[in-house]
Amino acid sequence: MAHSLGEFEQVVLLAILRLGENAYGVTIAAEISACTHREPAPGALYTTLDRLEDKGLVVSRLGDPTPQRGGRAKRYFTLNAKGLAAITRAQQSYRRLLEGCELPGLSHA
Amino acid sequence: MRSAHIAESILALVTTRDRAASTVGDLTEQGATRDAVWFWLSVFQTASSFLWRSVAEHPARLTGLALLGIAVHAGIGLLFAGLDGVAGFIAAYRSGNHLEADSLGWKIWFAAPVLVSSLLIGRMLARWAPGRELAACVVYAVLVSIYSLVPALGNNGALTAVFCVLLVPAGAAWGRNRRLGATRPM
Repeated sequence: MAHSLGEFEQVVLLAILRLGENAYGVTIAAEISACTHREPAPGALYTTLDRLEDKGLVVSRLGDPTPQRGGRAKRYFTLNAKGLAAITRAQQSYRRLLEGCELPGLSHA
Repeated sequence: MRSAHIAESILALVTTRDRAASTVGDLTEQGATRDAVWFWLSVFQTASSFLWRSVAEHPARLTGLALLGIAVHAGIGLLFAGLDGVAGFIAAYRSGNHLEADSLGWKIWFAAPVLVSSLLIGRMLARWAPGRELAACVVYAVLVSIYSLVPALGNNGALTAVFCVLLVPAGAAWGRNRRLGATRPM
């Protein structure tokens, strides 16, 4: 069954996609903040990551513990094929909606 | 850092221990350039988000568990009421029909069902809802508070609600620790 994605879920998936191998809580929050100029609330970010993993759209793995994190490991997230398909479908829907619309300062194919 | 351990314990009540650890690690890393208020606000906001997510995604199951808990609570109450009758009869017989029901011993005896059932129900909720212990406790506490505050039901009212709110999570933490201790590799 195809999962419908909420707006913030799409933002998080795109941030993970942009970060590649270095996507964990801190870098995902920083990437979202840099691209959208909105700082995500930690509670919203971690529950969304949790939900995306439960939906089977991302997979996570634990890195090595580091001293600057009090000896706690980073949890790295990666999109899997299902996640990639879901975000592609969602973005295609947006693109179809945009077709024929003229938005100031936005050009699209 | 001591505070990070406390934050990790708080988050471990609403998510798995390794997720709690990695989340606190992230907040510690980000907190290096921010103050302690930001760190603690983030911890409590994250904990409440995880808690709300558990309740919102499994409302029927958690309500069912809470109602089962209330049934157990009522059952233990009935058991103690029966024992009260027997003990009261014996005490009255020994003291020559003079029963000191206001004595401290009797007050403890009357409070015992609430104390025992709260701890027991907390443990049961921890076993029935692994990983969602606190969410189950919150739903139970809300329902039992409504039940206890209805005077027509003849309960101890606010006292019962306060006991349940404090002791059920204690029982759940006890049950969770026992479960984690049992599954921890040697």
